[in-house]
Amino acid sequence: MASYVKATNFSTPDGTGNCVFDRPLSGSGASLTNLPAHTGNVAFPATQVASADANTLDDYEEGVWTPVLHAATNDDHTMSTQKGFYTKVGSVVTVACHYVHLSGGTSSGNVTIAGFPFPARNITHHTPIFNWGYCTSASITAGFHFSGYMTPNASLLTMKTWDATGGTTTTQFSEIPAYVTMAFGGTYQTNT
Amino acid sequence: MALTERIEIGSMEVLPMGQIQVRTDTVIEKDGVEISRTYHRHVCDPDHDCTNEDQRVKDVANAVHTPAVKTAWEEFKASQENN
Repeated sequence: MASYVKATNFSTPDGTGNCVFDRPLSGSGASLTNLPAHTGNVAFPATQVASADANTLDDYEEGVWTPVLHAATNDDHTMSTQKGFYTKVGSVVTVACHYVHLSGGTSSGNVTIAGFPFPARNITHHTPIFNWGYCTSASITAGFHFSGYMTPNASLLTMKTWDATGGTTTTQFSEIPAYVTMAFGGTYQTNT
Repeated sequence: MALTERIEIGSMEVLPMGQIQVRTDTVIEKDGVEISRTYHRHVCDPDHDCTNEDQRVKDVANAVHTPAVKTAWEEFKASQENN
């Protein structure tokens, strides 16, 4: 038999899109699994009702985005597969991406990736890290690998190659020739 | 039974530095009743090329991405390099 949290334990809807809990979410009397016993879902409004409170969960959303690889110079290459997925829980965004490069054209210089679903949080030194889990056909030496970070307040990732004594250099377009296939992902905070 | 699909701008938010946060919704309807809605998101920064954007996004960009906003954005990006 399903059990329900008593109405005194939380209030919803309260006109703000928020559920307010005044009991622990575990232990006697209340748990998160009690809440949506009739549907199995916790639904948030399609348009976020942002809360500045550090203890309030105010959003959930999942969807897709389109990663776009850019070169600092010319930027005339072509891409054949650009698949990105995201899930946003509160201010935390988790993304995964699969990308296939078709041809390089005359592109050159530093490599960035744009198109992220939300900008990174606007706070100095908030530079979320992204890891590459899969890559083929790149022009890098065995043992080197790609990574990247997002610029605060921007929906842009700068690609980095771990190829230098002591750390990284910015990935050059020459390292990503035609038919490179790569998968990467990461988690970052956004502003709301 | 008629299944229809339409794509619409579900949300546009202008962020403090002039970025336009766009949510594009794909809506599936069965006999006029919505049965599915999925999201695609992207962000139009002040230096974003809006040529291929929806007209509503272009209209907002034209209003928001003023020369002053674009200049502030370039200065911000420069300040973040090698951060």
